Amino acid sequence: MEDSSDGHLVTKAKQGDSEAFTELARRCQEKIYFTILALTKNQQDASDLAQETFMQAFKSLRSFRQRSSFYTWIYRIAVNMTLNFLKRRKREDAQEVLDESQSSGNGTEDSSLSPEGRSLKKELSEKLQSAIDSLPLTYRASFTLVVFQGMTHSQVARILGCSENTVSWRMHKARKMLQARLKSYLEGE
Amino acid sequence: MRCKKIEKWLSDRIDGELSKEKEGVLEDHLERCASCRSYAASIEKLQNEAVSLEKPEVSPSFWEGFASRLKADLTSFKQGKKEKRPLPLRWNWVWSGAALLAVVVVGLYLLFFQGQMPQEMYVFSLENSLSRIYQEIGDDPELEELFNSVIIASIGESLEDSEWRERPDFLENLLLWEDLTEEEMKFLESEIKKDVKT
Amino acid sequence: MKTKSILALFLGVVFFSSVVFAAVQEKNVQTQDKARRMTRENIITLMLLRMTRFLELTEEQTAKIYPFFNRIEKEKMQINQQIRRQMREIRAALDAEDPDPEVLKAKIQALKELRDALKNKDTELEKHMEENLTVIQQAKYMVFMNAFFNELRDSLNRARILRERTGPKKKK
Repeated sequence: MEDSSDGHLVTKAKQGDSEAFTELARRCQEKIYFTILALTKNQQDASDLAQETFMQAFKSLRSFRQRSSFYTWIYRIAVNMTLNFLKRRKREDAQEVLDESQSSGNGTEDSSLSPEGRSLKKELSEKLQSAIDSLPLTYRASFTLVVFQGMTHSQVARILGCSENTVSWRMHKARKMLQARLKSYLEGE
Repeated sequence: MRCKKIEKWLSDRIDGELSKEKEGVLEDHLERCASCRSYAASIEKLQNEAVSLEKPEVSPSFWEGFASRLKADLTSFKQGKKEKRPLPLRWNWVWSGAALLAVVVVGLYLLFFQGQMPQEMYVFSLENSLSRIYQEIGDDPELEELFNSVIIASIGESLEDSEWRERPDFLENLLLWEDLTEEEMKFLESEIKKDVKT
Repeated sequence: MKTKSILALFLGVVFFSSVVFAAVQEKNVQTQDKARRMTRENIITLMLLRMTRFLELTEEQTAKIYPFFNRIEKEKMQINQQIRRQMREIRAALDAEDPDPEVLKAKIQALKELRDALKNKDTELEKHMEENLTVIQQAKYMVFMNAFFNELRDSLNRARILRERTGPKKKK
């Protein structure tokens, strides 16, 4: 929720105050970064795209009419920029398109632990992460924003530029896909 | 109440988006339907697991570096300098290559085709698009078959989207229209126009 | 006598082979035509799906544009079939030992008329779009057509990569 201090910062930032903008960025940088990371699965790309997002937002502040909250607006820039980046990369590297099961996790350490170190729960977590990573891009974007960022369908719809109903359907489809993929793990207990 | 609809409502409920009226209907159905109860349990478990997935560790120094990088870029931007941050190596290579190629192509074009401007540098008509694509395919049925399957996959991806599910009549019509005769299509067009006016 | 029968046999074989060859060629051409028609239909379907979203067409607009688009498409397909036939006939006429210039002239003229007919269909379609789209949508349409062309080229590249990965098909 945008409180009055955010609003005050936005007004100052719109007037060109970069300190005010930097503070706004600081308040949402983590959420923006992790959202992008969930989509790109690569820390370097996520870091660069997050920087690009804030720079783009600063350059476009004049056109921000404050009809939505600042954070909704900046999320929109972040997600659109990331989706465009991934589509461009998709064109450059067709293997990622053809190989749907490709998953590099969150770009952190290798998830192949030794069998002794694994519990069923840990295995489910790994499989779940892999399954989320291989969701179609538009479903993954909706899922990330709703589940990981705790947004409502209405907020996500504004960010993705689609209807609430579309978000609702994407969430349903995403869950169906995940449930189908992880059936054996979910029925385990 | 169909289970397919219930499954969607279960998803909405997890996200806190289900209305109270539907909630009542949902509970009634779950009391009677074991399969939906099982599905509800599965996706609730999925939700719990998903929200408790560990976020990757990010050190405080990362955020310090992030903030100072942004500050530096903002300062440069304000000073009117276009200080480009080093892009990932792959992007640099790609963009440099693209720029060099563009220069070479334009140079060659000017050299060999002076005075002859192309009719268009961009493709605006469907026929032009198709004829260029078919030119590239040439007489290669295997390639055409693969190309066709890629197109079909793209159609499938688009149709997967909920927007199309929300418009079933429209979707059915889209596929139906291809088999209609001329007279039928003209009739349909006029009927639709009448509908739209009212 | 023997030479004559051998010659007759030889000519018979050649004639029969050429008939069979022509029939096979015709079948190949029909198969190719059918494949091309299917590819084209799928491209159009994809284009309509993408265009609807890109231009943010309302239901009313789609109801007006889709039937018209499909009608024009059918007409263009028929023209394209005739163009392909003309091209084959021109090639066949050129392959003849002594191509008849008058025949060629007629075929060239027919081809030009078909080409113009195709262009007119595009113009008719654009006019219909202009009547049913807002100015912003018309501008988006121009951007979209170019973007869609690039998407087709990307799809073709993906097909090439797919082929490289799976290897050449064994010839029947």
